[in-house]
Amino acid sequence: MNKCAIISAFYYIADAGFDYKNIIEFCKKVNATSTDVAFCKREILEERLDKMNTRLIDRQSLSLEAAIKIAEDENFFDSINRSELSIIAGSYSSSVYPIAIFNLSAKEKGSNFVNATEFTNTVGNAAVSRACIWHQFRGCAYALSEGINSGINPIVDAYKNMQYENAEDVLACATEEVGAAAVLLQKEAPGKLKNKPIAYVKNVDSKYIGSIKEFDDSYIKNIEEKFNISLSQLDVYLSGDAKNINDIFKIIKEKGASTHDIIKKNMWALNPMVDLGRCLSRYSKGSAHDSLILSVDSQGFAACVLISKRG
Amino acid sequence: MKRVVVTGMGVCAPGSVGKDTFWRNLSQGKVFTGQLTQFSCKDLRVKIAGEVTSFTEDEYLPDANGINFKSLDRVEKFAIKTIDMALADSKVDLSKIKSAVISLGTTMGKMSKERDKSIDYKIYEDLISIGNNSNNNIIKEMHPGDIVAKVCRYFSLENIEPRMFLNACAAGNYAIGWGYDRIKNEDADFAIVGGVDSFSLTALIGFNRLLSLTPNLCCPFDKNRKGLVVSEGCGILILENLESALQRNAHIYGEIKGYGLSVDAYHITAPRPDASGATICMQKALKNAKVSPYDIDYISAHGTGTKVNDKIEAKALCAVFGEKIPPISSIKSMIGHSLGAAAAIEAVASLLMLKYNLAVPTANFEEADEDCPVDCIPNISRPMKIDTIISNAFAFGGNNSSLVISRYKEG
Repeated sequence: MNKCAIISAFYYIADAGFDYKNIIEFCKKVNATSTDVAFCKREILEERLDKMNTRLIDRQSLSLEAAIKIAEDENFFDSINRSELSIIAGSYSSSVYPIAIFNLSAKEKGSNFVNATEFTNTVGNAAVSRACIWHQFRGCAYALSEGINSGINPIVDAYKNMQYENAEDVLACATEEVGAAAVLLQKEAPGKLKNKPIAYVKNVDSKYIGSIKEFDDSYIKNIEEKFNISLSQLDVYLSGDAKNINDIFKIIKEKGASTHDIIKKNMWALNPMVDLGRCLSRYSKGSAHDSLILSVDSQGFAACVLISKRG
Repeated sequence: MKRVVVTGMGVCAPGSVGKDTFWRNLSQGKVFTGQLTQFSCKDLRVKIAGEVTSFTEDEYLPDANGINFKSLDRVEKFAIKTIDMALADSKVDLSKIKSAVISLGTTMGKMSKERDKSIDYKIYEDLISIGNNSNNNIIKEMHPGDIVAKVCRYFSLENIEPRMFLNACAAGNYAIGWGYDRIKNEDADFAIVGGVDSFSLTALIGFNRLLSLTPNLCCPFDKNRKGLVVSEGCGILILENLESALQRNAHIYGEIKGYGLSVDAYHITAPRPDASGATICMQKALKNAKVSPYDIDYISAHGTGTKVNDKIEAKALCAVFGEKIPPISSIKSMIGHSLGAAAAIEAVASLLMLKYNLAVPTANFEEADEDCPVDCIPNISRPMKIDTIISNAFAFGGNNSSLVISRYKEG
């Protein structure tokens, strides 16, 4: 049986670094502002990542590094064999911004004079690759992009890779211009885990379901059947960029689920990762309800993970 | 555990749209790289490229499910056209498939905007001028996940699990390995997997600055090799569990036996000098496929034609195979380096080599290099018994991948 334990979750969003225990405070802060969540400021990142050569390195790589650094500073990798640790990172915007910056720089300086480091930022796996270099993670590393669900599919793949016996320790991440998140997951085995799990991933699903406008009961029914659950017994966290997300929220409420407010700010792939943090935070404060973290994307992607406090 | 077989293939590459032309060109050692013709970049030192010039409007598909084929981005056109060829080749009835997945790999995706055959700076200026605002339509238009969404919509692939890999030059192998795992472990019966990239001036400028481009021909493993040639294309495989393929009497091109992934964790562009990343990757693939180095008949090399990459790949081959390195070739010498598409196109080539028992050559080879002690099948195809192949793809960031493909055998 696959016991995919969640050890902790680390965030660096909008110039602030924190772990899941402080996520409610973060959510209150961002909801209180009338503006969008700001992109991370380079100068603050550079200061935070003191002593590292950050020159010309893209914002997503640095944000991910800032999130991982929290885990590193708290010794979360001490009991893990780094040569076996895998890292999977999803991003909605991927390297669109680094490509824009590179091309505009080439236009200004001339194609033969643009800085090569700026080109290395344009590949989608730049952030995961740099994390591997800086922390000597040598399991497997990859980057993916499936709209908003880019934040949930790294968890899906971490769970599956443990089930397939491809990996035992995975850092599932999301990276965007507004910041990054890193969730440490470990396959539970007797005597293996140094850190007590906060929760477990019990099941996962990821699909292209066609037009998100037609999101209806049938998706929910399929999930209930696949996961062998009833939505009415769950806490549900919903995120997405779909315009009709409120209608989806209504469908979920009608099914009797205990729902949590949708995060109104668009942080791309970080939204479902923040939802996961909210769920973990509730667990740390005593809640024991199983939870469904669900994200839907206007392109027609839907993905969810079932989280349980107990293994 | 299910056995995973290949029942359909599609390919777009410089010189060919379709696997028959592709095979004819490769087996004859024809080179389809040269002066850049369709795109302009005036001030660049190197203007050599591989372009799919035969992908004209005659190759376009009809509109479907609200998608106007002609208006699609070039990378989407490649993906949809090649998937269409692969599905037709597999003769599968999608309505009878119970559970399916789709995984594609890309390097530049839709992010490298070329309009009117030169870089569309305006879209980048517009993006930057929006400032720190995540609510903008440019991202929605350019993000790579949109490619797989368009493919799903075009072919009405509902309830399919999608994945879009951004693992640079190894993305195709990551996509194939991911689909293989889903079928092997019974999470799916059927998979559309591969890689795609359209020609990117951004990539050309970038590799030019890294001094990785050859000013003329790509000569992998040659003593005087000078670098790679940026190209474009798409390779798609249809994967199926064996029972399903046999049940519908599908043609089986070969079997995916396993794959390996590893990370150099060394440098963003340079491979680890001790070649341990590539070595571990091949060893993992062999172990995963349950074959020994002696079982490998041929190696489809990453073989980019750069000084360092070929040397490190050869070093890794020596570590894995000792003194008995099987014959090896790099089709990048003929069609250039199609980035995220390369590994998948090389998988298609490998399966065709199994079919014809013919190893295609490394073109443009003149002088052996003592740093690359390999038999690279210089210039002329070689008839030989090929039952098992390992296909390498090593990417930026030290993301390594190796795929093991075998002739299908009963039992």
